[in-house]
Order: sequence, then C-alpha cells, then structure tokens
Amino acid sequence: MAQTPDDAERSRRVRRSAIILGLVAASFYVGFILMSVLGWRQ
Amino acid sequence: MANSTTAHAHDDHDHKPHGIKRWLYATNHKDIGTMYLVFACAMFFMGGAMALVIRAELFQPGLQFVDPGFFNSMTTMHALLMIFGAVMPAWTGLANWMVPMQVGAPDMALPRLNNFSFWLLPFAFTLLLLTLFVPGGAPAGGWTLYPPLSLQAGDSFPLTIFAIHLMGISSILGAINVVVTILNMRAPGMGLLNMPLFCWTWLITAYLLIAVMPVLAGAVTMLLTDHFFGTSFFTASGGGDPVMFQHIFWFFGHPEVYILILPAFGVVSEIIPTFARKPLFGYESMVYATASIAFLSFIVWAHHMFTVGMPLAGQLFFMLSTMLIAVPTGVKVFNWCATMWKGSISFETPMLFALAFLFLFTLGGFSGLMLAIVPADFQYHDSYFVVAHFHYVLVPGAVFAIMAGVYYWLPKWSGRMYNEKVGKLHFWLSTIGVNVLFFPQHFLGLAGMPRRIPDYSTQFADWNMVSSIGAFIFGFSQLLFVYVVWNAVRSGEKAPARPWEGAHGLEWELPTPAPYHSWDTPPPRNVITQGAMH
Repeated sequence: MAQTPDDAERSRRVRRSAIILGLVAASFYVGFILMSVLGWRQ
Repeated sequence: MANSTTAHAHDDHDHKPHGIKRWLYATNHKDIGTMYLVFACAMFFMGGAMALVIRAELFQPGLQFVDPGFFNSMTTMHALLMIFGAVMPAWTGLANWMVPMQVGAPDMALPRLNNFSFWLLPFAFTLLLLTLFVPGGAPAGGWTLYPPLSLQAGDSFPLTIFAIHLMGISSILGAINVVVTILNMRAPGMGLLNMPLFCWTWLITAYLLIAVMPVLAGAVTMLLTDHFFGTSFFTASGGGDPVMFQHIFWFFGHPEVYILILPAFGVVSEIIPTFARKPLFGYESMVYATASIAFLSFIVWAHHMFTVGMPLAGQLFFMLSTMLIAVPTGVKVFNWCATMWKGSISFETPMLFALAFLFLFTLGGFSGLMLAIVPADFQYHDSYFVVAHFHYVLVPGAVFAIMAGVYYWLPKWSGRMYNEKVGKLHFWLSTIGVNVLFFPQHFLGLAGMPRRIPDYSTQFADWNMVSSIGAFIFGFSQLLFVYVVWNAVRSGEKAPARPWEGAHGLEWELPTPAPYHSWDTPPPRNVITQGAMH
C-alpha cells in the first residue's frame, strides 16, 4: 500500500513520541539505579 | 457502516502467518493480545494453585501439608504471579485487543516492540518459577521484598531480581506502546474526549507504569548490591536504613495498585451503559476522576507503613491524602449508579460481573478507608483484615472486571457467543465463593490473626475453615471460565456484529469476528460520533 503524506506524518509523530517516552522511561530507569550507586559512593 | 464494510472487504484476502511463526513473530495486535490473555490465564491458575496450597494448610490449626518455609514461599510467589503474571498481562492483553479497535487504528503504533514486550514475560516467569527448584527454595520474604528478611534468601535472590527487571521492562515497553497508539493513531475526528473510557483509563495507567516501574527497578537493584556487592543501603549494621526500602517500595507499590484497578474502571464504564441501555453518566467527570486518582496515588504511599513510626504531621498527611481518594472514587461509583438509574437493565454475564465489581470493589474501598485511619491501622496492620481488604479490591475488583471484559468482547473477538447459562453459573459460583473466601478474613483480622502464618491459635479455626471452603469453591469454579471460553471459541453459536443491543463504540462497527486487519481505512466521522454516545 502506497504511503500518503498523512501516513508519513503520522509515522513521524509515532516515532517522535515513542522516542521521547522511551527516553523518559530509560532515564527514570537508569536514573534510579545510578542514584542508588552514586548515593552509595557518597 | 460503509467503512467497516470496506475494512471487511479488504480482509477477504486476509492473510496471516500460520503455525508457530504466527505467534513467535507476531506483530498483529489481536494475536499479541490473545497471547497476553492466554499467558495471564496460565499464571492465574498457577498462582491460584499456590493460593489453594495456602488455604489447604490453613484449613485447620497445626501444620498439615507443607513446612513453614515453603508456606512462606507460596504466599510470596502467589502474590508475584497474580500481580505481575496474571492481572497486569491480562490488562495489557485487553488493551492490545481493544485500544486499536476502539480508536479506529489498524494496529498498535509499535508492533515489533509489542512482540518484544510480550516475549519478555515467559522468560521472566520461567526465571521466577525456577526459584522453586534452587537451593534455599523460592523467595519467601513476601512480595514486598522487605529487607533484611529478603536479603536472607538463598540462590533464588538474583533470579527473582532479574525476573522483576524483565517484568518491569516488559510493562514499560507495553505502556509506551499504549501511549503512542492513543496519542497518534486515533482516527481523524476522534478527540481525546471522544475516546471510550477504557482507552482513557489505560492511557492514564500507562503513564503510571512509565513513572513507577523504574522506581521498583531502582529499589530491587539496591537490594541486589546490598546482597552481592557489600553496600548497605538497607542494612542497619552498615549504617543503612531498612525503612527507606519500605518508602521506596511503596512509592512504586501504591500507584501499582491503581495500575491494577484503573483499567477495571474503564471496562465497567463500557459494560454498565451497554446493559443499562443508557449513555454513561458524567463521562468527563469520569476522566477527571481517573486522572485525580492517578495523581493522588503518588502521595499516599506511607499509609502502608504507619506502624514503622513517623512524625504526627506525616501520619496526618498520609491519612488525609488517602481518604481524599474516596472523593474521585465516589464520583465514579455514583456515576455508574446514575447510569443505571431508570435504565432498561438486563443481566447478561458481563453485566453481572460488572455489578459484582461495583458492590464488592466498593466494599474493599470502605475497608481501605478503615485502614487509612492511623489509630485504627495500628490495630489492623499486618492482620488478616488487610488480606481481606486488598483481596476484595483485587479479586472481585480487578479479576472480575477482566472476566467481565472477556465475556463482553469475546463474541467480537471469536465471532461466537458463549453459553450464557454456564457463564451465569460461573458468575454465581465465583461470587459466592469469593465472599465465603474473603469476608470471614475481616473477622479473623479484627480478632487479631496475623497474615503470612502457616499455623494459628485455635480461636481462629472456624472462620479459617469457612474461608478455605470458599477458596476451593472459587478456585475450582474458575475451570468453568476456561470451559465457557473454550466452548464458545470451538463451537459457540455465531455472534452478530453487535451482540449487545445497547453497545456503542467503534469496535462494534466492525464485522464479527473482528477481521485480522481492522480499520485499514479510518472510520468516517459520523461513525465516530455515533459510536461515542456520551
């Protein structure tokens, strides 16, 4: 099925929000673990 | 309707992979939804079997069947399996099936990620179940993993922590998929406030998951470093603070309770209007109430730990903020009642389960209010009253809502009707069983029986026996559920496109069974506005 400009725009939006949410989740995830490790070093 | 016909016509050359590859490489939201639901069902029975071991041991005082260490493992594993293996995956399964169909999208936004999210789970639970066979046995310190007790676990410890990480990653990825799908894949013309309540409650649940699963990951990682790398975050002898773990755990744990129950509010908000044949009363207030509950869930965590000691101001804050949750929850309960008011109600199985949810979840909510009162909580804490409270919220609450949802949408999924008589039998046995099982536990708790013990004083014998009888009625009646679903899918009568006269929403505009690829072409605006009906 050929992609319409609407589809392309939607793919862009999907990619963008997935990346943003992924980064938020990953930074929370890594952040909490790092906080624990750094807290230990202090 | 024209559009659904188009969608159907397109699906006449519906091609889907066959055999094991269909499931292993699945990217179709319906296939992945089915896998989640089957997985959840398997875990429900496994966790249920553990519950029956617990109740068999507690049938009478003294040690009958299992040694106390194994009993403790059963309580811990039962909770982990039911929370992370049964209820959460069941909701994700329902979201996979329903969210794209309800928002007019052809699939979830990130289908490959969806596949990955699901396939993490069998590995996670294999690891967790393997702990039953390692030296030292399965984790036995309770699902809350409080140190120092949890740090004394044997070889099961790293397996449990790794399993929890995998479950957490799976949940976060699934949640990202739901948010991205709802925000980007809605059919043109479907505003956020046109969405069915199930999508709304899931959207809010997904944000909760993204916010709190990393907290659990951080907490269990600190446990891991305490156990293996010589840190003392929670070890008092090394200057650490075990109570800090409880704060971190419940900062995750309380929103987790709402992760388990918010989608239930969504399902019930779909079913009650259908069978009352009236639009949902106060749609927008339902959305705002859900968001308020989610917000409040972040500021009530310490009500789980009043007895560890905290300043009076802290006790007051957490008591009052907890009580505040009754306001948006009350809005919901009254809205459901107002929806039924003067409705033309019929009592098919999904409606029966939704009504039982309404009564029994509210009962669980009231005992929660009792537990929120600090001086009273000092009496109830760690007693069977707490066990009764959270099982009322989670079994006739979350589990009944999942079953209501399965009965409600099964005709659309499979194209077949379930056997209404057996469905109703399942409902009545479950409802009687669940009350015989959990109601006496209020009395046991008020009389002073502590939770998580394999033996008890003889004064508690009678109600424990009643509770165990209820457990076996409830447990075995769930086999009927499997029978009803299996029988419907195999040989049920053919279902019409809209099997429930009062049903509204985009999913009912699709042919039955829902084609493998639905809404390849977005539904037209008039179908969306007709479907919304609120």
